Amino acid sequence: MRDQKKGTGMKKEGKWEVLKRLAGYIWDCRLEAGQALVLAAAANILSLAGPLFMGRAVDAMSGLGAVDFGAVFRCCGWMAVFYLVSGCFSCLLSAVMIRLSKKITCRMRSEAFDRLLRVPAGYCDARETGDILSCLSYDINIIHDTLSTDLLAIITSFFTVVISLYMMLSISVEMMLVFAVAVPVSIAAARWITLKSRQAYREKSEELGRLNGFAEERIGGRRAIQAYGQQANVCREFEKRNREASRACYRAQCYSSLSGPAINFINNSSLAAISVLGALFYLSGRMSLGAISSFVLYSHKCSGPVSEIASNVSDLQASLAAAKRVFGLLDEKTEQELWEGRIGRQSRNTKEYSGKGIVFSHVTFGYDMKTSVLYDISFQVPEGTTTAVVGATGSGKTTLINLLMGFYPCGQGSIFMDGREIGALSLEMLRKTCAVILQESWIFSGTIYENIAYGSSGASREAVEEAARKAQLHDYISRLPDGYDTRLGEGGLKLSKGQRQMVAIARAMLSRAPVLILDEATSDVDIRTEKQLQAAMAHLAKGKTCILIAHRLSTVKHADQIIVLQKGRIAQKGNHWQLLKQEGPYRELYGAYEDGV
Amino acid sequence: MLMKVYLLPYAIKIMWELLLKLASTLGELALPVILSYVIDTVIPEGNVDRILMWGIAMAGCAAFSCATHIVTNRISADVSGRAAERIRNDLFEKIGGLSEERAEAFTAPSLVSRVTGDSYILYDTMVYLQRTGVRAPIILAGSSVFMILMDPVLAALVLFAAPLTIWAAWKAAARCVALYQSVQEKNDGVCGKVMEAVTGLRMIKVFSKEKEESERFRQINEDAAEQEQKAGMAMAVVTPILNVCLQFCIIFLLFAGSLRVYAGKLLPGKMIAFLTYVSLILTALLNVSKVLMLFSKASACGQRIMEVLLVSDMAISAGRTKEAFARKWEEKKETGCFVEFDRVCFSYPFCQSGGKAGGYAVEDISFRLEEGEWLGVIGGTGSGKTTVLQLMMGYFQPSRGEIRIRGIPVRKMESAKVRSLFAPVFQQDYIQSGTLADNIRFGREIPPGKTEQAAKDAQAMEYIAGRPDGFMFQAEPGGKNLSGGQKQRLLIARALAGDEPVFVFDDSFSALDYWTMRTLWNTLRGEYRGRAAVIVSQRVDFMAEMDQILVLEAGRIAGYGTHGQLLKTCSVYQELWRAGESCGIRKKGQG
Repeated sequence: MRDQKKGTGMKKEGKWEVLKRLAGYIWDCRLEAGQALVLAAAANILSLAGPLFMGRAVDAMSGLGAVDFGAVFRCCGWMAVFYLVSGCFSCLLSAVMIRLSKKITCRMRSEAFDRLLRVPAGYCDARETGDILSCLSYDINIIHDTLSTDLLAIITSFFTVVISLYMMLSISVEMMLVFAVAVPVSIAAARWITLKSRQAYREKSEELGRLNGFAEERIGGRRAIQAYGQQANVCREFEKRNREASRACYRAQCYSSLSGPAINFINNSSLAAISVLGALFYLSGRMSLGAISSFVLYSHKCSGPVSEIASNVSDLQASLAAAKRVFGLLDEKTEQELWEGRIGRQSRNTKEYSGKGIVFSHVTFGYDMKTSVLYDISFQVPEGTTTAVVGATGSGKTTLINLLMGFYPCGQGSIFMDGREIGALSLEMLRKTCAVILQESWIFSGTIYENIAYGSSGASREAVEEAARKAQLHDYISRLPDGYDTRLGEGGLKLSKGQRQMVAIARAMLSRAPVLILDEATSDVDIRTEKQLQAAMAHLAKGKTCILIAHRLSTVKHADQIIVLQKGRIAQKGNHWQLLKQEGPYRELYGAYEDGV
Repeated sequence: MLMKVYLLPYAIKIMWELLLKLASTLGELALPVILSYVIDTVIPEGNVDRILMWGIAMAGCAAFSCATHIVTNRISADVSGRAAERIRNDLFEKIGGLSEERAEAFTAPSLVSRVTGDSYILYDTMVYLQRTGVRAPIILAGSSVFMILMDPVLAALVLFAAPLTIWAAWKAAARCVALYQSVQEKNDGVCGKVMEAVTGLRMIKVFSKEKEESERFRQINEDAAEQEQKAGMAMAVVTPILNVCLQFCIIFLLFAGSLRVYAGKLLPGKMIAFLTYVSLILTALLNVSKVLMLFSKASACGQRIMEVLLVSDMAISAGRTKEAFARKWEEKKETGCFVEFDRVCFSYPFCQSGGKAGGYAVEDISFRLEEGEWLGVIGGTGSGKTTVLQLMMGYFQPSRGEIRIRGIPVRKMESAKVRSLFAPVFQQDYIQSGTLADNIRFGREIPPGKTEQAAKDAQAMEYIAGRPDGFMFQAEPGGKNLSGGQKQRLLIARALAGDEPVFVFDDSFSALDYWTMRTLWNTLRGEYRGRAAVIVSQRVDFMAEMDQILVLEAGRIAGYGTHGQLLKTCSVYQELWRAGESCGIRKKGQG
């Protein structure tokens, strides 16, 4: 079931494609990357000179009464300088890498968010919010950690290994042969472990994502769960999924934890071999003690990094999996692209609305391939008139709005706005033309002023207050200690459903759009307030082309045209009086409510 | 602290693990000693066989070390995994029982991130602690011991610097705890913004605000990233500084060592071993500082989790013993009064209630709900209707006055018991991802026949029967693939399906049209009369048919009685009745 929800744009990306893309991001910050490389090289070369000097110093100490203090002091002095400079470079290197990683992940996150806003509404509908959130936070966090610490560790380790190997080579070719065997064996072992662990990591990522989604959904529904005494059941379910996730983590750990000991073993065995060889060479006079000690020290320097690289490579696996998910989102087709694909190239038509009204022409549509929600819908809404759409719940009313707003392309047929097919208009133009109040009113974290002025940025305080007054909200707001500056949203004031709708109405009142779309706009407001709002709504609708979905007879009655939907088809069309005369669902419902007939 | 508590049950395993780690690390540490022995003692003998023998001994140590490390790694993964699992379970359970205000104060996104994100960081840290965090100190201690055994004076000189550096690293790490906490907070803000955008996606598109929202997000994002950068830098400086300190240790060692060799107190082979050990100590100290860094990050996470676990005011409360309660419960059935509000006053402790003059959200509320009675509650927006319902169902305790169910004060009853009496449909209710049948049953033991009946009565069969998979139709999280009316009917079916004695509908019919509403109402009044009901609705025509009506205005009772009584005596009710008429909610001739 989950696989069906894969988006339109997700390409089959292998490990290398993902790496290449990530490299692309790094290339955009090539200044920092370049600095990092130079600093890493310098810092490592300088600090790796240490063992060489140590060897020389050891050689200068032969035994009782035989120490060349001059040589020792010289070595110590050089070491001091080199180490200090190397330390400074290391600090700088960290700073650069952190800045680099910040730039990249910040950019990625912004891009992902931007893409999220531009994909079709159906993308979010089909996914759990937890999954989407996981993509933007957890996955990108992993990438950040990899770039800022692991990548640095890999670069440093790489330099350390290469330089150490070179130094060892310069000391003794024969002993180097041991490493000529050890290093490839380590690499082979690391690769084998990586291969095995990749699958485990992917599963871990998925399980954690699922757990996250589950937790998010249940925590959101805690009130209903408490109300029906379901906490115990839900906790049990959580425990089950938690167990799965833990198992997946354990499996991933088991594989990744093999690398450390394995590499250590290879290194320690090499050390044993070197010790034996070294002793033999010393015995035969081919190597000095100092040379042996330098060699041993370099081999130590080598062993750490190889296991470091191995463990970091497995972290890299996890972040590649994460990057793949992020790129999946970034590759999703935007709404624009989806429409362009359907209709053809979108005209850059940004002409202002010229008042030709709305036309639905043989529109058929279904949210999924199997079931259709609307069949062959045709009607017109001439300029300046009001059309009401009524029908039983589930008859397709809200779907009409979804299509009109361009949230989904029609299956068949077309919708014309202002004489042009809506696919040919830019979505921005289409939506600017309409002021909308939907069934669920959206409040975001911001002040009341910001919430009301959302659609009309730059609206003056007075205009906002006027709109709030008309929406019957002003008195309530003025009683609040912070008034229009009161914060709403998470952690702020909670408005009731009715009050939220009033905010949405105030928003629409500020808008100057020529088309008004109301989807059960006053359903949640109490009737006393609704009566007061009626005058304001009438004022709002004056002169505009309106489509409204409502139940209340009073609003429906005065519409110029009423469309009665039944199971996705138009059952009746006409104005109130005409429909009352006809046999049909309209009369069934509203006939009893008419005065004196 | 948190980790200590959760790892305690595995103490024996951990001890075993530590012992093994000790053995394996000592095995590794033995290598430089063996080397020095070979150089100083075996080589002068010139015995090649013995050299080879010692070489094999070294290889043997290496193998032993590797094997035990793998075993201990598995143990650490297992132990940490289980501890993390238990932390998540406990945290989730605790969150499920939080009171509304507490949960709101924490905010849902923050709670979710604590369950999954913070717990994962803890898990990671526990694993790392048990591996590197154990190995590094052993290397430090072991190396020091070996050095002291080889040449106490030199060892003392070298080791002098070590405690100082450890102390400095600890201090730096402590500073970072605070920094990381604020990083987590900023991350919560980012998560919150994402969730907000996802819920309001349609509105953002409708107002073509994509660019603006993107820009706003960019700010929040930058902010969080800056904070993370600061914290990261504070951490990152520690390692190079430690490095330099220890490298100067080596220089000092060389210098002091040369003096000792000159004086004949030290053999060159031991010098090599010393250099090796100091290198090892350096690496170990680096690892210790890494551990401390991770620890500080994990500390911040641990504190966040503790914050939730230590919350004392819960929505769940224990009550009287079950037997005493059950007896009293049956006795009281005779009195006939089911719920009684006795001069109840209440104000929300944490959230703002919206500037009511007296400070109370509801004041001086008194009414009775008899067994099997139907009570309607009406009033303007913000008049306190939802608050009264929440008080009745035991979500909050009244600030003054008392609420009694069958004569027993609610605060003396177990919250779970109180809630089991009500079948609510909230204003913003919750549809779970899962089948429609599951949503109706909602975890209760309800036979399929009853589920179907409830769906029929709730007028939901009309759309369920129309779908090919019927009751097995998968609802998406939040019911996104259902229309408003379909959702409401599903929720109503949920309330009807069980056998709770009271249903509570808080404005649950707003998305239903007249056809559906009338049929539903008739069915409810017909088939479900045995159960009591408390219904909040705008539909005054239906409200008129209730047994009793409670009229609320600005948190106080404006009227209480039957429709006929209120029409004569209550001005607020009259106003509402008239308004209903003009809004076409009811027939003109009615009443």
